[in-house]
This record gives sequence, C-alpha cells and structure tokens, in this order.
Amino acid sequence: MSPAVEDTIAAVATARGVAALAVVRLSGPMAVSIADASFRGSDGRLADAPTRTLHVGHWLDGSGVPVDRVVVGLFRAPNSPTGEDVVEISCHGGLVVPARILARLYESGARPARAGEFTQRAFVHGKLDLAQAEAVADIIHAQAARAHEAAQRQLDGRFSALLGRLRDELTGFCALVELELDFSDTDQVFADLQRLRAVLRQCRGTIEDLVSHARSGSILRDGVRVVIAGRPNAGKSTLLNALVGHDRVIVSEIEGTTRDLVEVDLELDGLVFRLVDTAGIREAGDEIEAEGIRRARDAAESADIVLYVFDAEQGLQAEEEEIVYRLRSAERPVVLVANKADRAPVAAAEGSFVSISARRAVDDPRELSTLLLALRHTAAPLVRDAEDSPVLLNARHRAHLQAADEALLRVEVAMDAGVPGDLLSIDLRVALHELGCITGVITNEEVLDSVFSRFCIGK
Amino acid sequence: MAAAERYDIIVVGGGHAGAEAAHAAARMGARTLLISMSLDALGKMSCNPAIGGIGKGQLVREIDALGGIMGIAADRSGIQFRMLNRSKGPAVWSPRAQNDRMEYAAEVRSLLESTPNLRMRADTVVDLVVEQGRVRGVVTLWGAEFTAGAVILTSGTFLNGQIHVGERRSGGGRMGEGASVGLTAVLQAHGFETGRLKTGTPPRIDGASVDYSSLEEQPGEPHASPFSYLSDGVTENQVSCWLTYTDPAVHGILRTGFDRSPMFAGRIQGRGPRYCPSIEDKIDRFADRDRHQLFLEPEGRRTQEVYVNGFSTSLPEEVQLAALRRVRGLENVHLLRPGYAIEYDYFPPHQLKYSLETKRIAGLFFAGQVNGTTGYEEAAAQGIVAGINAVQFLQGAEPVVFRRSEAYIGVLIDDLVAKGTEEPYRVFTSRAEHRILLRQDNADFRLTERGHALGLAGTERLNRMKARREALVRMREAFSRRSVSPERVNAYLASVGTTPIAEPERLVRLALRPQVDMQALLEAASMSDLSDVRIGSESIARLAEVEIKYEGYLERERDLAERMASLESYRVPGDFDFTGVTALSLEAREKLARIRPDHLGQASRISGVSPADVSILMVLLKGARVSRETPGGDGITD
Ligand SMILES: Cc1cc2nc3c(=O)[nH]c(=O)nc-3n(C[C@H](O)[C@H](O)[C@H](O)COP(=O)(O)OP(=O)(O)OC[C@H]3O[C@@H](n4cnc5c(N)ncnc54)[C@H](O)[C@@H]3O)c2cc1C
Ligand SMILES: Nc1nc2c(ncn2[C@@H]2O[C@H](COP(=O)(O)OP(=O)(O)OP(=O)(O)O)[C@@H](O)[C@H]2O)c(=O)[nH]1
Ligand SMILES: [Mg+2]
Repeated sequence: MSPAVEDTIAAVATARGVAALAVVRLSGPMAVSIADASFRGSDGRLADAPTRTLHVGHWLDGSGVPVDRVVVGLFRAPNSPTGEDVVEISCHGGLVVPARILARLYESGARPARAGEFTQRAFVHGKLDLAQAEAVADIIHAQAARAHEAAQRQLDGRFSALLGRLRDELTGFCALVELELDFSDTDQVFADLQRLRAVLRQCRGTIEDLVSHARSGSILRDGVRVVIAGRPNAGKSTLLNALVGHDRVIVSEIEGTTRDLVEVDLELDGLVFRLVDTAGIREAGDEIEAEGIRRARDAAESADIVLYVFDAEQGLQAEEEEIVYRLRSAERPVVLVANKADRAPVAAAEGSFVSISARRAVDDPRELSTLLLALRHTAAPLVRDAEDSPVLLNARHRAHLQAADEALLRVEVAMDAGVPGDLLSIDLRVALHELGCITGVITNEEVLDSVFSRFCIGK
Repeated sequence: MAAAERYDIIVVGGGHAGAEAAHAAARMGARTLLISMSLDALGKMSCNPAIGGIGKGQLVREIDALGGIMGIAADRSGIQFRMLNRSKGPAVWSPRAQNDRMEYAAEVRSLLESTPNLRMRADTVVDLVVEQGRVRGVVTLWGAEFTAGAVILTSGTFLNGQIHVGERRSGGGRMGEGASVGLTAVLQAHGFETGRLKTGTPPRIDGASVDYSSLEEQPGEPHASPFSYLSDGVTENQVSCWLTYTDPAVHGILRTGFDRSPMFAGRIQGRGPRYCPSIEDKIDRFADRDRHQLFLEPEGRRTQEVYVNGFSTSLPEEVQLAALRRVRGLENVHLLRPGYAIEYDYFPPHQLKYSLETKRIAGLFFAGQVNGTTGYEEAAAQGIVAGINAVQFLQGAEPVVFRRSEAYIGVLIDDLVAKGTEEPYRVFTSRAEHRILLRQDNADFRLTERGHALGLAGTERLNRMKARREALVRMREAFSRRSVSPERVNAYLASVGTTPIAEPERLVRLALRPQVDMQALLEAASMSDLSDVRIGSESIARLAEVEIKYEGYLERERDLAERMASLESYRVPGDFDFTGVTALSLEAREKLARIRPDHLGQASRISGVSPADVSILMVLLKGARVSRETPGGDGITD
C-alpha cells in the first residue's frame, strides 16, 4: 500500500445558499489537469502557468458549452493551502452554477471531499499543527471581521509557541525531579525545591492567564454577550426591539411578560453583540416565572456586559442597587439605563447612567446614540484584551489547560505535604500530556477525531 | 569433523545474559546447550561485585518473579544488603546487594548444573550455520559443530575486545580472558550493522593495605529484603563498605596522566556511558568540583580484594597508583590490578524484533551487552526474554513481549528496539514513565502468573504469590475495619511529626498520612498480629500502606498508561512505504524506514520522529482505514 494521498478531491468551499460568489476548490496531484479539462482561460492552459497566479476565462460543461465566466487561482505544491496542487474556481453564487462546476470536476476524475479533508491534507503535509488546524475551524465560525484577525494570528503559531515554551519548562522540571530519583546515592546536589516551586508557579500563572483570555477569545468568536436585565416593566424588551430595529420580542404593560432568555445578534463596527433579553427580576408569581428569573440572574452573572434597565420615574430601588453592586464586584461591566425619559427627564450631567426613552427609540434610532456610545466604550477594553492575547481558545483547549492546571496544583499541594519526588513527577507528566494534547505533541485518536469532525469541507 | 550434536537451542556465552537465557530455555523444556569460552567464568561479574541498585533492583525482582536465577544467586552470595531510595517514594525503592564475587559465580554455576535439559561446553563459537535466512547451528574454534533450531548470542564485551591501560593495549574480553574474534565479521557478512562501545572499570586493591580507621563506615541494613520472592531472608552477618573522597591534590596527580590517556588521546573511538564516567572524565568535565565520592567495596568474605567504586580509569598504572595513594585511607595502598577501559563490538539493537530475535536471521537471538546495554541486570533481563522467546519461536507460539506499563523489562527492550542506542544503555527509574506501577514490591503480582504459564516459574513461586495477594487483601480489610487508640499511637505520631489523634482512629486513615510508616506504627502500637504478617520476609502491612497511600496516583497512572497504549493499536502494515511520505521530516523518514516500527507507539519513541510526524502517520493510517470503509459524500455538507 502506498501512504501518499493520491486522489484529487473537490468541494464547494463557500457557504451554500444565495450569495454573489462561490468558490469551488480542488486539491490533489491531478488538480491542474482536471481543471484544464473544462477551463478555457484567456491566457492559455493552467498546466503552463506559474504558481500563485489568477486566470480569467470560461468554464465549459461536458459538451463544450460555457457554464459561467470564472476566475481561477492556481497554487502548486508545496506552497499551497493544502501542500498539494490546488485550484480555486470563483464563480457566480447560488445553487446551480457551483453544482454544475462540481459535477464536471467529478466527471473529469476528482472525487468528493469528506468533511474536513482539505484541512486534514494540509495537516498531513505539515501545513498546520493541531492548534492551527483548530484555528481554521474558528475562522470558519468567526462571524465578524475582528474574529478573523485573531484567528489569523493564531495561525501564525503564536499560541503553539507559547504552549511549547510552557512544556519545555515543565519537562525540565520533571527531568530534575527524576534525575534525583536515579542519582540519590551520589553526592550530587540537584536543583533546590525553592527554584522548582518558582517554575511551577510561573507555569500555573501562564496557564491561568491563557484560560482567562479564553473569555476574551470567545468575545471575538461568539460576539460580546450583552444581557439586558432589570425589574418587570422597566422596558427591557422595548429597548431590545429598538436596538435591533424591529419588533423582535413581545412588549406589554403586564409585568412578567418576558419569561425565557431571548438572544439576538447585532453588528456594530464589525463587532458582533449578542443581545439577551431576560425576565424582569422580582418576587416571582409562579413557578415558570421563578425559573425565568433564575435564568436571568445566571445570564447576568456570565455576561460580558450587563445593561441594567430601570424606570426613571421610580429610580433605582435598594435591592436593585444590591444586584448591580454584586455584579460590579464580580468585575462584570454594568451600564445603568434610566428608561422612560419621555416621562421623567433626567439631567444629562448625571453621568453614572444613560438616560433614554426606549419607546421613542423604536421610531427614532437617534435616541440610541448615547447608549450605543456607552456600549462601544464598555466593549472596547474587552476587545482590546482579546486582540492582545495570542490565544483564541475553544472548549477543547480550555478543558486541557484546566486539566493541566489541576495536575500542577496537585504537584504544589503534594510538595507542601512532603510527598516524594517520584509521585510529584506523575502529575507533572499528566500536565505535560494535557498540554501536548493541544499542540498535537501527544496525539490520540479522539483528539484528531474531534478536531477534524469540526471542519466543513472546502476549508 | 565429527557428526554435529543436535539441540533445540544453543546459547553462546555464559555471562549474565547467557546464564539466564540457558536456564529459561531449559526449564521451559528445550534441550539446551550453553557454550562459553571458559566454564570457570560462568556468571562472572566483570565489574563491581554488586547486584541491584536503582532501577536495576526492580529488574532483578522481575527476573525472579518470572522464574529466573539472578535473584536467588544474589541472595545466597550477598554480603551486604540495602534498600536504596528509602527517603523517596516506594516506586523508586530499589534493593541492592554487595556480593561475594566468587560465591556469586559458584551459585550461578550450580543453579545451571542442576537445571534439567541443560548441557554445557567450554569452547569459542567462531561461525554460524545459516540456511535460507534461518539459523541452523554453530561452529566452534576447536572444530565442533552443533545444530539447533535457535541460537542466542550473548557474547558480552568479548567481540573484538580491546583492553587499554594508559598507552598499553591488548586484545581481551575482560582482564585475563581472551577476546572473541571472528563472529563480528561473520555477522557483518550477513548484513548486520555493528558499532563500537567502550566501558571501564576501577582498580582493585588489597584491603590489608587500607587504613579503615580514618574512613566512614557504611554498614548494611538489618533485616534487609532479599531479591527473590522465594527467599525468606538474607544473612545478618553483613560486611561494611567504606566511604572516602578524592581532593584537588588527587585530581592534580591524575591530570599528569591525561596526555597518555587512551580516551583523551583518541585511541579509543567507542562511546562510553555518560552516566558512569571515568574519574578522569569527571575531573575534566566537572572541573569546579573539588572532590568525588569513592566507595571501597569488599569483593568477598574470603578475600581481601577491594573494589574502588567511583574510580574507573584507564590512565597509566603508575598514575593510578600515585593518585590513589593521595586518597585518605589509601596512603599505603597496594594495587592488585589496575583499572582499565575496554572497547568492544555491539549490534545496534534496532536490528531486533521485540522478541529479541534478529530481523535478518530467523531463529537467531541477541541478548545482553552485545545489544548495547551495560550492567549485569540489563543483560540478565534480556537473557530471560531471549530464552523464553527462542522456545516460543521453536513452538511457533506468539513472542512474549512486556509492555512499558507492565515491567521494567518491557521499558528496557522497548527503548532498545524502538530507539536503538549509541552509548551503553542502562536502566533508570526515570526511563520508566509508569514506574509507580512497576514497584519492586509487586513484580510477582505483575509477572509470576505469566512465568508459570510459560513453564518457567515453579508452583512454589506461584503459590507464594497467591498467598501474598490474599494476605494483602486481608490486610487492607483489617486497615479499614480496625481502629487504634490515641494512647497506643500518639507517641509514634509525634515522633514522626504528625498531629496526634484525640479519639480512636481507623488504621486506613493513619496510613494516608505521608509521614506515617505503617510497619513502624503497628510495631509501636504492638499490633503484632498485623505487623508480623510476612511472606518471604516482606512486610504485608507495608505493601497495603503503599496501595492505600498512593491510590489516587496509581489510578491516574493506570489511566495515563491506557491512553498511551492507544497508539499501540495503530499497526503499521508490513509494506508501508515510509520514504513516500514527503510530509514527514527527512530524518523521520530515514529512521522509520530503517527501524520499521511495528506500531505507532514504537514509532513515537524513535528519536528524530517528532510528534508532528506521529500525527501525520496517524492520519495516514487512519485515512487508509476510512477510505476503505466509507465512500465519499456528495461533496456538499454544512
Ligand atoms: C571492564 C568492564 C567494565 C564494566 N563496567 C561496568 C559498569 O561500570 N557498570 C555496569 O553496569 N556494567 C559494567 N560492565 C558491564 C557488565 O559486566 C556487563 O554488562 C555484563 O557482564 C554483560 O553481561 P553479558 O552476559 O551480556 O556479557 P558478559 O558478562 O560479558 O559475558 C559474555 C560471556 O560470553 C562468553 N563469550 C563471548 N564470546 C564467545 C564466543 N564467541 N563463544 C563462546 N563464548 C563466548 C564470554 O566468555 C563470557 O562468558 C563492565 C564490563 C567490563 C568488562
Ligand atoms: N412611556 C414609556 N413607556 C415605556 C418606555 N419603554 C417601555 N415602556 C412601556 O413599559 C411597558 C413595559 O415594557 P416592556 O418592554 O415589556 O418591559 P420589560 O422590562 O420587558 O418587562 P417584563 O418583560 O415584564 O420584565 C410597556 O407598556 C412599554 O410600552 C418608555 O421609554 N417610555
Ligand atoms: Mg420583557
């Protein structure tokens, strides 16, 4: 059997559906000749063209009838996205044209790509390590321009490099501990415990940093989660509708209208805000409402930003101040919104809250300008954090980092308890193993499965 | 030439590897012939008169648990016993003994002589009979020919051995014994790669000329643990070792001989063991250290000969002597024989299968120092495996391979076969990532059933193991059930610096405390019905304590072992073309093509094969499976 990847695969690389353009991608040793079979470029055959060039021309069907006018990108191995010969055909979007081009490719000898197969090939040809491969997945999932940038950064391998350094430190530590086991009968002095402790602390610090950056990472990938909270009838749902510009959720003068969490995306300056409307917080009337209120509180506690809405006529109640205080002490940014300004105008100088009339805002978006400013202002540092960090963690990364951190914590605790070195090294190796699972240093089937199954084909 | 005598298995060489191989094969029922250059040197310790030590002690216990002879011979001939690493965790406790050199060899010889199916012969093997890629027998220097279905080569440091002392050199396999010439060339002609390694030994001195009064005594341990699970204890009549040190003046004298050192002058090309450097190496490489430790180890009960551990050297004899005489206690020392270095041929072990059979010639097995290892225990461990697998081979049975999480023997052989070695290889506990599972106290639980099933471990051994296992279960029950009152243990608890108890406490709770040694606690509390439970001199309470104290660790380790083992399930097809995978690094392609790993686990341990390379192979091996099973999709999915 030959291990080399011999067949040429093809798939539509862009999302399905109505769009102006679509890209059909072809990768493998036969990519160029398969494309040449149907492509009539204005500058001749692809086979004669240099690598990394673009060609305009017509795509013909089996009987030589033009299907579409296309732009073809040519990348020759090994300097291509997959490390193989790659041809990318940009054509008109929709369902029909890409499908016809694809059908023609299959006729000419390509075979359909399996899920994740392009990435898998890139991986096989040493184009990506595991973490980078996952970054590709994150690019696909990134909904906004900023997320794309951060994912790009991870592709540079910064995340992998950081983890690599961490592993080196721990490996050195482990080696010292183990050295001591084998040469305890000599009169050699090995590294002292204090130094080892310091290394350990440093490693845990870095891991914890990475984990806490995971939050900011998720801001770029999933959007800034803005939870709208407040008492019943404060006007939360009205405000949500005003922000998204249409009647998304039910508004009524009955207290306790909203029960479940409702999430709506809003894009501002290329950044996605995920707005969450919640049930008004009060002594609950019934079981369902009680559950809604519990969810509302949980949502507020895990929000990136809380918009706390209150009725300007009634002012902020004592128990509401308590809620806001608690959120702020947990370092949750809270924007106070005094609503119904049409009834109780508040002096603009009182800068600790934003005064607004949600009802007016539904018809007149200008009413929202102060609030939007406050929102952007509050989101800015979060986004900056996310961009500064080299990491864009997904759930799998986080789980491994946390497991590594726990193992290192066990080492620290055990050191304090006077547990001997041979046992310390066990948890050190657990930590090394966990870190290795992220960068692909230690591979196992599950990891690869979970990584590759996340990819849409064509990317 | 007389008609060839027929055997099932021929073992060439009667060192530690050969003795163990011949014993194992014969016990398993194979008609076995052991041919060695001199039968007076069977089981001879070429270097220091000691068995065991860190990592090595575990090997000896494993050999014993399988039914080998090294542990028994060491127990019978020991003159001093200690458990090393007691201050560390139980996983790295390692038994070690000083042995009477002559006694040890005599025990080995008598154990071999009393083994049924085993014949011995003094001669030198100079050629192999090979037909159609399969070994058929051997030819000796004196013209005899012996045929056999399998041959195990264990020629140690003897192949083209060259001994160096200063500028003098002479052929030899060990001081006083000739080299074995011819076999290397024969094997090279069969296509084997060979290499050259080097090792050294310190001078031997006359104990009567040592002034012990100025030296630090290092006595043995009372009630020490034996190596063998069959032994009920070891002699209490122990002999001490003595500790002394070099100093800058000694180093100065040694330096005067550097220009005549065969090492520094480049007359020796072979690579020596980094972790076992000669004294000249130590002072050269660690110039900042102004002293080095020396142990004076007695060579036996009935001799005054003393081994100067830590002073391995191949400097000119007069420099050795002058330097020794500057060492405290050795001012008037008389040299019995100088230290020397020896260079010899070895066969880089990637040419072996896990069974220790060579890949090139069917039925030919290599074991011991010829595979690039150093040490008696490493040699013996390979010997027993080669002996077992030669019998398996003749019976057409599956080879016996120990996993890394199962035995130090498995670690040793996996390291050799998977990675090869370019310097003399020694076991270390740090090489055994699953060492907490591979303790010296549980080798029988791990291996004796297997040894028994092979016909190697006897019934008594099996019964003792079962008795120990049952006693352990009962002890653990007693620990969870029974309590001890404050009056009985508080004095002990205070003495080891842990908080006293206010109310009766269950034993299991106390066993969990890191400071507590249960054997000592039970003795202090006079719970003799528990503290006195011993089988083969081993305290069962201590065994129970280890399992309780380290339960969490043991569990995590088993877990990790399982995760690692999953790589081993990726078998590499026999015709897999590594050189065609351009995604692999050049070095990885080369190494993989040369070593041809059986599975991905082995591939991952080859030096030069990076984790990325392993991932690539995994994807490919997996891809190969997938593409056979599932047809492609329709090309558009979400
Ligand atoms: C000078 C010296 C220093 C050493 N220093 C150390 C050290 O510091 N630390 C350490 O751990 N180990 C050391 N050793 C190594 C240790 O002695 C060996 O690892 C161990 O003895 C190897 O066992 P073996 O069975 O492989 O070979 P050996 O013990 O060498 O036995 C080989 C046997 O094979 C026989 N033989 C060889 N060729 C033939 C043939 N063609 N036909 C028939 N019989 C043959 C020989 O007569 C001999 O009996 C040293 C050895 C020497 C010689
Ligand atoms: N005058 C005035 N009325 C408002 C304003 N915003 C909301 N209201 C009214 O207040 C009532 C409650 O509004 P909702 O948006 O449903 O309030 P809510 O906070 O979502 O209430 P629950 O879902 O019950 O927790 C409705 O009758 C709204 O029309 C405002 O800015 N001015
Ligand atoms: Mg509402």
